[in-house]
Amino acid sequence: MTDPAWVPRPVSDLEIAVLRGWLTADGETAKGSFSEQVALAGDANGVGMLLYAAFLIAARRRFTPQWTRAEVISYVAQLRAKLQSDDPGLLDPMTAEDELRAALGEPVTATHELGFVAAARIFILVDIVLRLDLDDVALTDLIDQARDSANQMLERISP
Amino acid sequence: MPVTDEQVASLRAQLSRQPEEHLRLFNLLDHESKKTGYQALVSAAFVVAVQRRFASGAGMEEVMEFVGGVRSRSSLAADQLDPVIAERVIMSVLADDSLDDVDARQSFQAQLVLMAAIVGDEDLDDAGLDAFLAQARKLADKWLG
Repeated sequence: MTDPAWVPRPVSDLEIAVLRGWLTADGETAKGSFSEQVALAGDANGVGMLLYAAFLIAARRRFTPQWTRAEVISYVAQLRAKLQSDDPGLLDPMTAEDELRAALGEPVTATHELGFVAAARIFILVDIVLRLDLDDVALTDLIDQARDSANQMLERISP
Repeated sequence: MPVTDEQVASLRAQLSRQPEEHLRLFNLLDHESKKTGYQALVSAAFVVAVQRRFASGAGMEEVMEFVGGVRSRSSLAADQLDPVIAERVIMSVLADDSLDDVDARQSFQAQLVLMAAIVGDEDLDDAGLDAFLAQARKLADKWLG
């Protein structure tokens, strides 16, 4: 949970490195950068917003301009089936569908456990980015967009 | 008490896409008949349908994709069918997984929707539907016996 005294600040380079590690399936870099960020700044709270921003960008890139609820349901089912052997049960289907529908602009009123929400965003983001098979320039561009967007959202919640 | 002709006729109407006739016949069943014979018949039909749809040894991956396919057919199916419960009721047939912690009403609802989807996919003619229901009735009678 975020420390109540935490003051939002721009996303750091180490937090960017965490995201890049996830998106390139380099878990060691992600983990190491996360630990380093916490050791240096006392938190890695920017990662959550950065992840959310990247998730929104990826979801919209994958499903817009045209999308249907049926496509979202099928996509989530296929992703869960793919994850079944290594990470069974980690991707909650209703959470994943609602997160995607909300990202695509549909009003979704259901609430889900925070752990399920975070897992859904990470698994979907990584899956979409891996499927897009971005080269380094395109990946950097996506991460830069996510950073800008995350910083704007952080600025809005600053006291 | 074994499954009655009236219970079979009600389910048959539903599976042959005659919702009004299904409702009319279903409403003629008394409360006890709905709770026992009819529920047993639906559950037995679900077991028969799942065994026909999935090869022995089918895994959770295939089940997840199937449930996703059924739920993606309409908003009603998406709302009616909880994917995790749907997967579990199918796996209870395929792998004998326990359903002890699943709400009975939700389990029955999932079985009904999934069974109707499987039978619908098979596009059975009258004889095929009769044979399917006869198989389900036999299994239900065994359970009720």
